[in-house]
Amino acid sequence: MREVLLEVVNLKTYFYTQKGIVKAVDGIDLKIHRGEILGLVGESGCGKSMTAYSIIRLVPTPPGRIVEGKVLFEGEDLLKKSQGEMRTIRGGKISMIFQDPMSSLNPVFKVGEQISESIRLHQDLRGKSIKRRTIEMMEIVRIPEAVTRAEDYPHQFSGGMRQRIMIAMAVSCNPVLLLADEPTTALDVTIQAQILELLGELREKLQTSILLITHDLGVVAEVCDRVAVMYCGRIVEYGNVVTIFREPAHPYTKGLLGAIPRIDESREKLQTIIGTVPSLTGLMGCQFHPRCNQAIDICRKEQPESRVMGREHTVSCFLYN
Amino acid sequence: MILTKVASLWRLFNRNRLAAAGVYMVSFLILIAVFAPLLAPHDAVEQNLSRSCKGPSLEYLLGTDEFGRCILSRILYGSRISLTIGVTSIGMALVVGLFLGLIAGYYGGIVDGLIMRIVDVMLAFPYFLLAIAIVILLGPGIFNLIITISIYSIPTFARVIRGLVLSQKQREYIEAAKAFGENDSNIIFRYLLPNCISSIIVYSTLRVGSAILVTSILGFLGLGITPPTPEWGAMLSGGRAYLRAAPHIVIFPGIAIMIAVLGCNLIGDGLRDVLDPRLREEVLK
Amino acid sequence: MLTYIAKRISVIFPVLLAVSLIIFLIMHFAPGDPAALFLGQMVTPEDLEKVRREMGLDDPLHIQYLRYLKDAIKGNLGISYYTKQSVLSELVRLFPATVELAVASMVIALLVGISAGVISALKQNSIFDNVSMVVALGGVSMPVFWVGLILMWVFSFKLGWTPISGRLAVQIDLKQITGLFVIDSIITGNIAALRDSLRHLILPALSLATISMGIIARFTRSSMLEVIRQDYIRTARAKGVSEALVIFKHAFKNALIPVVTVVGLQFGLLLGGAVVTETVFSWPGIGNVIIVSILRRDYPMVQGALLLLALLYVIINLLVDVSYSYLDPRIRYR
Repeated sequence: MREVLLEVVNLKTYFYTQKGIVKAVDGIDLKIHRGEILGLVGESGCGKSMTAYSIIRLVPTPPGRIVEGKVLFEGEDLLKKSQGEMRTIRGGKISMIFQDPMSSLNPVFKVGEQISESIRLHQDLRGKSIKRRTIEMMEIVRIPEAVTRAEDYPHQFSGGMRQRIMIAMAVSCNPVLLLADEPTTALDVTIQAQILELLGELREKLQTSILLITHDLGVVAEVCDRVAVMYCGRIVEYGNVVTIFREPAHPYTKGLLGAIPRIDESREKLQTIIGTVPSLTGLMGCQFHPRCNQAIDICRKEQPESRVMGREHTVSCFLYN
Repeated sequence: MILTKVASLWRLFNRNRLAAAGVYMVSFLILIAVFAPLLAPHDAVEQNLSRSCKGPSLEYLLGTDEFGRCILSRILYGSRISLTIGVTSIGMALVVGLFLGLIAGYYGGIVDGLIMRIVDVMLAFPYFLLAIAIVILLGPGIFNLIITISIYSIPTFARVIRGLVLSQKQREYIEAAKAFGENDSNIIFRYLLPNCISSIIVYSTLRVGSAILVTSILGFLGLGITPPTPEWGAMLSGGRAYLRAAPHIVIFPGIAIMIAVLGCNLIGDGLRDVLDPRLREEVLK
Repeated sequence: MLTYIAKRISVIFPVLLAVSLIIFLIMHFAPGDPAALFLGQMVTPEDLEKVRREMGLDDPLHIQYLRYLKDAIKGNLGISYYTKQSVLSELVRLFPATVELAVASMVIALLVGISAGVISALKQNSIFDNVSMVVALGGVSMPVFWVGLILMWVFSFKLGWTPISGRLAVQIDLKQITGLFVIDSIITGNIAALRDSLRHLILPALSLATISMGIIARFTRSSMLEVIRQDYIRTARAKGVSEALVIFKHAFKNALIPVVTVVGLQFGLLLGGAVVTETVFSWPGIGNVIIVSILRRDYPMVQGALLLLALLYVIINLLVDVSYSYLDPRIRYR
C-alpha cells in the first residue's frame, strides 16, 4: 500500500451569509496516496471546489471559515500553519490549477514571466537558470516554440495552450500534490483528452499526486485511480474507480452513472435524478432523501454514517447500515 | 405589480443612508424654492449700504452682503433660480439627447457617424468652455442661460443614450421583436426604451447637479446672471473683494451650491446602486 | 498599432477644423462691432470705415472664415483689441502658467485619488472606505471657486502662510527657461525662487485638484474592486505570492489601465476649471485671460485662447488613447 500523502479528516467549511449559514463542506474524509489520481465528483455547487480551497487555505475568509477538521499533509496539519508557512507550500509542494485558463492567467504579464514567478518564489535558482527552467516546463507541457512563445501574452494563445501554461506554472516547482479544479471543463473534447493525457504523464514522470475535481464521470473513468462522490458538502461514496463504476452502492452514484447516455444501450428516455440540488443551507436527515427513489423512513430524520463496503469502498447510506 | 416593484426599490434605496440624505437635501431645496417668499425674512434685492458686510446676527441670520442685502433671503430666492435652470435645461437636453442618441444608436451608419462627429466636436471643448462660448453669443439672462446649459449638456446625453441603445440592440428580445415583424418605432418605444429608463433616470439626476454647478460657475465669472438677481455663484463673486473681513458672504452661498449639487449626486448614486442588479448581490455579514 | 495611431490622428483634424469654425462663428455673431471695439471710444465714422475695410469685415462670411483659417495655420491669430499685441505671442507668454497649474493639479489629484481609491478598495466597507467615498463625492459637488476662496481665506488670510495672487513675489529674480517656474527654479538652482513659486502654486493647484480627486478615487476604487475579484488574483495567491505583491504587482497594473482612460477626461475638467481657478487666484494664465478678454470684448483674444485650449485637450486625449492601447497588451498585440 502506497504511502498516504494527504489525509483530510472531518473537514467542515461554512459560509456565514445574510441568508444563513451555508455548509459548503460538511464533514468530509479523504485520503490521497503518493502517485495517485483521486477524482472528486459531484454536481455544481456540491462543495468540490471549496474542498480544494480549504486544503490549500484559500477560502475567502470574510464570509467563509474552516470551522473544523484536519488536513494532514505529509503528516502535518495544514490548518494549524501560519499564512506565511502556507505561502511557502502553495505553488511549491501543493499546486492548484483552475477551470477557466483565460481568466486565470494575468492578462498583462507575459506567460514566461508568470511561470518564472513561481520558480523564483519556490526554488533557489537565479537569472538564466530560471529562464531555462521556464522553457523546460513549457516544453514538458508541449508548447511548441517555447522560447518565442514565452514572450507572448495569455490572450495570444488558444484555450488548450493556456491550460497547458497553467499546468506548466503549477508543476514548475515539482509539487507532490496537484489540485486540479475542473481543468478540462472549459475546453473542447479533443483538447480535453490531451490535457488528461498530460496529467497522466505528470503522474508517471514526476510522481505527482492529483486531486481531480470534475462533474464529468467520463473524465473520472479516463484517468482516475480512485473516486469520491460528493453531494451537498458530504462524501456519499468513496473507493476504487473500477469498483464504483461496476457496482455503485449509493443511490446518487447509481443515478449519476445511470444518467450517462450509452451507445451500447437501446433506451428511449434518458434516466434522470428527479429534483435539483438544494441550496446548501441544511436539510434534516440525509441530504439526498428528497430525490432518492430508495429513501426509507430513517433517511428523513438522521444523517447516515459512512460504512465500509469492501476493500477501499465506503458508502454513506442507510440502505447499507 | 409595478407598485410593489417600486415599493421594494424604495426600501432598498432607503437602506442606503447616503441616498436618503440626498433625498432630504433635494427635498429641502425644493421646499425653500417653492416657499421662498414665505420663508425669507427680508427682501432679496433691497440694498442698505449702512448695513453692508455685517456678519450673522439675529436680524440677519446669515449676515448681509456687500450691498447690505440679507444673504439668507437671497439664498432662498436663489434656490428658485438654480432649480429652475437646472431642471429645465436638463429636461430640454434630455429630450434632444434622447432623440439623437436613439437615432444614432438604433440606425447606425451615416446618421450615427454624423451625429457622433458633431458630438465629438462639441466635446472637444474642455469642461464648461463650450458653455462660455455659447453664453458669449447669447448674452446674459436666465432664459439664455437655460438654453446655454441645455446645449452644453446635449452631447453627453446623446453619447450615453446611444451607448445604452447599442447595448440593448444586441439583445435577443430585440431580435425576437424584429423577427415578429414589429416596426421600428414600436421596437424602440415599447421594448428598447423601457429597458434604458433606469440608467437614463440615474444619469439625468447627476446632470441636474452638474447643471446647477455650471450655472454657479458662470454666475461667478459674471457671465450668466444679471444683477441684482440672487444667483448663488454671482453672490459669491460679489463677496470676493471682502473675503478677509466678511468671509460669510462667500461661505454661505457656497454651502448652498454644495448642498444642491451633493444632493443630486447622492440621489443619482443611490439610484444607480439600486437599479444596477449586479451591485445588489452581497453575500456578507 | 501604428495604424491605430494614424487613424486617431486623422480624426482630430476635422474635429479641430469644426471647433475653429464654431469659435469663429460665435465670435462673429457676438455682440459688438469689431472695428469699434478695436479703436475704442473716440473715433470718427471715417476711421471706423477704414478699419472695417482693413479687417475685411464687409466680406462674405465664408471668405472671412477662410482668411481666419489661413492665418491661423500660418500662426497668425490676429491682434488683441485691447493690448494691440499679437494674440499668439500673448498666448505663448501665458501658456506655461496654465500648464504648470494643470499639471500640478493633475499630479496632486492622481496621488491622492489613486491612493485613496486603492486603500478604499482593499478595506472595502471600512470606515476609511465610507468616509473617503463621501468626501470624494463632496469634493466633486463643491464649486471649485468656492474651494479656492475658502482655502485662500484660511491659509492666506487667517494663517498668512500663502500669498493671495500671482506666481512669484515681485522681488524674486528667476531666469525663465521653460516658463514653468518650479522647474526653472530647480534647473537654475534657485532655492528662494523654488520655495516662493511653490508657495504660490500650492493653493491654486490644490483647489483645482479637488475637481478630479474625487472622481479618480471612486474610479480607482471600483476598478481595483473589480480586479481583485478576478480569477487571476486567485491564481497568484495559489502560487504562493505574498499578499503585498498580489495587490501591488498583479492587481495594481490591471486596475490602473482603465484609470488611464479617465485621465484624459479629467484633464479636460482641469483645463476648464483652470479658467475659474486662475480668476480666483489672479494666476496669469490662459484661463484668466479668457475671462478678462470676454469682459473687455477682446474677441480675437478669446478666439485664440479657446482654440488653444481645445487643441491642447484634443492632443491630450489622443496621447491618453495611444498610451492606453500601449499599456493594455490585449490591444497592443492583436
